[in-house]
Amino acid sequence: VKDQALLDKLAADQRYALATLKVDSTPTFFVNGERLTGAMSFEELEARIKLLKK
Amino acid sequence: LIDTRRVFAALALPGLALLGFVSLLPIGEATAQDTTAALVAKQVSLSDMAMGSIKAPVIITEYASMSCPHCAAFGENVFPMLKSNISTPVRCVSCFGNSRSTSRPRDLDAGPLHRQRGCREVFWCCRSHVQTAGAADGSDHRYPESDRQAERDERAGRSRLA
Repeated sequence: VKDQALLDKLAADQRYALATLKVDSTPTFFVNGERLTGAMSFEELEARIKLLKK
Repeated sequence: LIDTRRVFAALALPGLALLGFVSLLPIGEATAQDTTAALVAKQVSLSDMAMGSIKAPVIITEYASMSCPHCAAFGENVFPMLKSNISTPVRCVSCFGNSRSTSRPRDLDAGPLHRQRGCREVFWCCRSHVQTAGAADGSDHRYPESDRQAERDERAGRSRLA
């Protein structure tokens, strides 16, 4: 990709994710604002969604 | 004689204070999450790919990398089930290539590509190609055995939350 403007935007997004959201590894998930890092199984995600429904 | 009003006041005030403190705890936690949710939802420069209604009660935002095996496993095993096996409406937002850990050449290429094509599925199409190429050219996309084992564990259902 040689579109410098696009790369600059991506870099701005990276800075925001790191500085503001503390995203320093992948995958990082936010479930309604709750930060979860690392691998995620369907069962774990489903359990969290069920908690949010209550 | 004991002044009942004073006794009542002496007991009631700490009780009310304790009740107020306890009731504020979950509210404070919820407010912090709401603040984070607003920060996550904020569009900085590039638009992210999203699936599902903007009014969905559950919004899952995923920061992922094109060359991350855990992300690939999520896309392959969990994401399809999210679409079909959950009765609650869920909105999924995917952010590829915009976390520091993805600042590798292929990821920097893949992030804009993902957005320009306007299709999340590009990730699933490219994933195996990116990972295979990374392993073949000896670049930093080569994964240590521990990561490969973690991926095998995930596929076997032994996933973890870090």
